[in-house]
Amino acid sequence: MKILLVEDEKGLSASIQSYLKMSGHICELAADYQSATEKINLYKYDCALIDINLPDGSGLDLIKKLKADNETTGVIIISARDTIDDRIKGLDLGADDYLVKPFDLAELNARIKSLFRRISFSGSNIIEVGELSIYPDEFKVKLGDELFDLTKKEYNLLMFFVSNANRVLAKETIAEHLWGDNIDMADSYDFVYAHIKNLRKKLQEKGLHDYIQTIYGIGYKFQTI
Amino acid sequence: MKLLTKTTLYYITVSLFIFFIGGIGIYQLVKRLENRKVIEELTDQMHRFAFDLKRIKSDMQQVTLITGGLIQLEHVHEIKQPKIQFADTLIFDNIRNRFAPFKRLTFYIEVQGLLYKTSIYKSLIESNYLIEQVALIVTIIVIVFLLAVYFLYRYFFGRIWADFFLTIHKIQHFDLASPVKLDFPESMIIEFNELNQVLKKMIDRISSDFQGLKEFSGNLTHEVQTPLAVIKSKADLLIQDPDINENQITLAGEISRETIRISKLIKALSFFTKLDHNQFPDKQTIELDKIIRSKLEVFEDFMQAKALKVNLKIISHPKISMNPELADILFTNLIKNAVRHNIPSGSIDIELEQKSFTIKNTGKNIDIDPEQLFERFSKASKNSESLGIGLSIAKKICNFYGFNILYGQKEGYHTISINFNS
Repeated sequence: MKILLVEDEKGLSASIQSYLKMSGHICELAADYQSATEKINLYKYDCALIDINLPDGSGLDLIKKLKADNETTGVIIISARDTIDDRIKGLDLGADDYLVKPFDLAELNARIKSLFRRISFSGSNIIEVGELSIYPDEFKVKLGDELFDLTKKEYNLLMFFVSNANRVLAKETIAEHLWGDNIDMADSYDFVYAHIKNLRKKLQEKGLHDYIQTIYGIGYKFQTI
Repeated sequence: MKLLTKTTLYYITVSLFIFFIGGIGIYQLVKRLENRKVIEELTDQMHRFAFDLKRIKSDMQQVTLITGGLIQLEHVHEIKQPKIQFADTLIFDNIRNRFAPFKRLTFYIEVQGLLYKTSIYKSLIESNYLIEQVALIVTIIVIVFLLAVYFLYRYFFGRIWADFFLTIHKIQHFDLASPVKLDFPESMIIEFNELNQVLKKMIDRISSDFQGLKEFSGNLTHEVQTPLAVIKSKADLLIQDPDINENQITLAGEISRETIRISKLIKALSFFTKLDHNQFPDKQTIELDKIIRSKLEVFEDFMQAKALKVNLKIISHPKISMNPELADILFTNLIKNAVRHNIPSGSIDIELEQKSFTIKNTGKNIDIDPEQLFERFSKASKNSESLGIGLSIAKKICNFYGFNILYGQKEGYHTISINFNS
């Protein structure tokens, strides 16, 4: 997938680029409005990550331009501002998602994948993970022809793991993904653990390989290789 | 009491007092002048009569007839003191058929060797009439004057104090958060100009402090988030490093977690400043039962995991006018608080009435002053994940809208209630 990252903070853009490369994406950088405009004019991207506050312009204008040139390019705003007004302004211009800094790279990756699924393959979208087939448009998982019964939370958890396969996911990251960032509940880690235990049990019951590894002191990893 | 009412009352009281004294004075003066005039006339008449009488040669009886009864002669043998006497008397007036006031002058005169006691009468009707007229005119003048003072005063009052009232109006409608600057027009009155200058200086100072603080908290919130995002992303990458060992990965995880904590703290603190600066002006009608239901849904997982029993009692469906973001934060915080500090298999009872919202949850007894609970960073438990500002944010939002929020603890139940009507 070809991604354009417009972010003036070099430290952050380098990190995002590394993480996205690990996930097999091609990520190009633009540090300001000027170079971003040039890149948009020259190339076609599947997705653009745009910071609103740029040294020489507003990311909002870039979104307008992107959406005018190519409707199918997905746009995710990455901004330090998190008021409802800012979100509405961005989403009204056609942005598909809004991430508030500081965010988790795994969360960003999951959002990109979800966005990409939404905009590129309408309808006939299947993710194969070993013997499992995930139908994200229907929120269903199948094992061969058999429906693999999961609760909504377990499904979300599996999708998050699959989006960040072979990455270490901190339990806070998983909790935040499942319940949103304003649920800073101390007990949420226990719930993450409980959900993971259930998911693992269901996978084992079907005689599947134990994909979920516990990484001591930090969280979990969905191992597919 | 209003300035106008107060000063008008003073004016009228003082005027009435002066006119009362003045009126009595004028009345007495006119009365004395009239009295003197009558006495002079009578004295004059006495001399003329005495002179005339001495020249009369005819019968004295005829004299009385000629004078028409206004001069009476009485033959006496000796003179009684005083020789000349003035007196007020009432005489029956045949023509008007009633008693009328007269002034009588009594004196003695010797004519043709005989002593006569002579009384000259003068009607006082005319002078009394004059006095009455004067009194009436004075009264009318007083009333007219008072009315004139009253209306003129009101008129001039309005004109003189107009600039003062304009200043009050401007201050009342001044909003620090709005970009409109406060400006007072030049006044004709020095004192008002001084007042305006002092006010303007004060308000400019407050405005610049307000702006400074707003910018500071805005910068703090936004500008700090970017370096935090960098730190967090580096820690995230470090975690993914295949060569990292167990100990290092734990450290990287802690860096990541604490970075998020700083970020949330800054956001929460800047939220207080934003609320203080009235940066949540837009209001909507919020249907509380809907928002409470949706918030309960958000926390469903956590409630289930703790096996909490939730009783939602909606007695009425209040609609409150407030900022939707603040309403969201308020009820999220209250419900989150009730879930977080609950005990396994505990309960949450929520009651929504027209004027109040009550949330009651089971929980461990805490040894803390209820007022302290609403303070920033006060934690009843050593729950390090909690920032300790959820309830203080709730209180701040309630204060912002004039709601009354109370905490109570009884027999293992913790109750927080909000009264919307205070």
